Amino acid sequence: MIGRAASLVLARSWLAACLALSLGPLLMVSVFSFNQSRYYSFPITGWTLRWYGDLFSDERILSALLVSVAIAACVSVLATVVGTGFAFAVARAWPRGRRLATVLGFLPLFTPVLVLAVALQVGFLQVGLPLGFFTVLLGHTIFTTPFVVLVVLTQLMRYDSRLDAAARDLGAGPVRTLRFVTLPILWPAIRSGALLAFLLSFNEWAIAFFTGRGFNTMPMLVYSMQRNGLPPSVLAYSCLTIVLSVGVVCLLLPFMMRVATSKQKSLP
Amino acid sequence: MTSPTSAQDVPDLEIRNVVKKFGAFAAVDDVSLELRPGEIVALLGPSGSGKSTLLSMIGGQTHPTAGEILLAGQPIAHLPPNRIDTATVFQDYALFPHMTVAENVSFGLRMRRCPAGQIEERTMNVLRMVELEDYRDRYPAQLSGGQQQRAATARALVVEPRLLLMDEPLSALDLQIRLRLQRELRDLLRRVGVTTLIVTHDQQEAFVLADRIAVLHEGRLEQIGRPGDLYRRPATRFVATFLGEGTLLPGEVLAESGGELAVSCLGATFKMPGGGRVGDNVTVLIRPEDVLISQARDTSAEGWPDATVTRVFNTGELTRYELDVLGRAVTAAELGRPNHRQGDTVSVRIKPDGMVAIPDTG
Repeated sequence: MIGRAASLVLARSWLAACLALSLGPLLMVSVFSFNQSRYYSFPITGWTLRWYGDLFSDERILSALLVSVAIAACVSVLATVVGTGFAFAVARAWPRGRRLATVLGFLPLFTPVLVLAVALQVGFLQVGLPLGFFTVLLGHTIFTTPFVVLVVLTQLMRYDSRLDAAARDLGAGPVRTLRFVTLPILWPAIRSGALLAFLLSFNEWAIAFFTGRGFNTMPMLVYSMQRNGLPPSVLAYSCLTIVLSVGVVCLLLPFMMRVATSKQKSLP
Repeated sequence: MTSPTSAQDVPDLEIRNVVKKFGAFAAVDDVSLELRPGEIVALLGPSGSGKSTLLSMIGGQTHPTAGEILLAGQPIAHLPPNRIDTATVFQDYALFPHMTVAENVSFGLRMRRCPAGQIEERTMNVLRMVELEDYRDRYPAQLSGGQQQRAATARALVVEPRLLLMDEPLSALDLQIRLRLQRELRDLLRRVGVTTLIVTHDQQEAFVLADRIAVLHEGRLEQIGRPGDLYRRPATRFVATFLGEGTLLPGEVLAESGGELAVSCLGATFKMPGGGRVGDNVTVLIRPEDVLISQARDTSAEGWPDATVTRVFNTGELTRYELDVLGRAVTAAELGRPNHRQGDTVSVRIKPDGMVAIPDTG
């Protein structure tokens, strides 16, 4: 028999081990990004912000960052519009085919990204779309839309349709009901979906690598740089991306907690 | 031009032979009903009786399979809800969670594109009326159940609808608050003078709020009338048992003259109103408060001289008795503390007009 105290210690150690395993590499990269030495190895020789300066003075890195941000911003808007529309269609238009539509819609979520990237390249070439900026845009939109659908649909399924009925009853047509009641109430979910799409696109490498030509996104650039040994400015970039991700997760956290803890609404 | 009297003649709401089918199942089955201006009518029935479906057809959320619905003389059965001049207080209120009380209440005026100054004034007037002016900047989640109910009522009243629809307006509230709000709501509706249709399964709510009650059962209108009339003179067994307690006994019509029947019931003969011709079998309804119990053996008047008290319940203000009359259970009630004990042999008489004959149909 394990005593209560012992099992508590065991559970806490397990948790600590898990966290160390998942956060260790991220912490290490972050620490090395402030290290004076060009070579990332212990011991730390001194602290510097030089690599961050390098990051923002390197033409190649700056233009890649700009491309990544531009793509992520466009993808975020596109995926949010398409994904929200799809979520509405599933929730409202196909009450019977809901399960099938959901499975089909979510299939890309469970496909390896590399497979999706290859499929997209083959598909674009077949259709005759020249690989470039817009194919990456399209590829990322296809990749991120299911995530938006997942987030919005979860919220839409517990949406009380009587709120729409009340708006209609008080004189609002379908469009004004959507604009003043439905969308504002779903806005936290839609905003979370948009943030998620931005982050996924910003960090995505495989689809960009397979369907982009003539430019580098930041992940593509990092990939090409590591073949000649990673410059410390890439560590600085990694650290900044980690900070960005933590920020987005914090913004998403209230929503994710609500989804995880709230019960399904019950209607009479 | 319509003459000034014609507006009075047109009912605010007219429902003609309305049917609503879901597949082969008729949720509402050939219902006709009229509401005169200023009248408050309750649709009373158990769940599944079709009352909510009927209400949603009037509001335009669903459309009838057959029949007509006229609002102030105009057909509305196939209009979308935003083009029908009704306002609904939904069950559980359906207040917009992202708007303050004032924004909720002014929503209908904004959708009707009222001038801004008027919106502010009318919103504040209605909020004062329901005593929520201090809560105008709160969100619905910050209100108590009773305050939410009043906010929902205000949101519907502010647009001054031709017809106010209320779907189980008080059923979400605790008993104490419900009883207080019943009276408040009745006073408010009378003061505003708005024609109102209330859906409820709560008999007491219907009695307190309504001028007339329409009893629905399995999609059909069983009876419509003033609350007292329905209670005293139910037309069907369903109405008799759904509205209040009572004893139902088998009877046979012996004679009929001028609408009054002589009915034989458990070996005694009583005069009573009701439907039925000579020789018909009828069901006799006796309300508990119309049963008179006396310890002295009394064979002089109409009644049953030999009965036994089988059970006694005291609920504070009332004492209820279960009596055995010739093998049949009869329920009686008296105000105050018990006057008889279990096992007592008593005489039972019925107050004049305390019985009614209901025809046995089907």
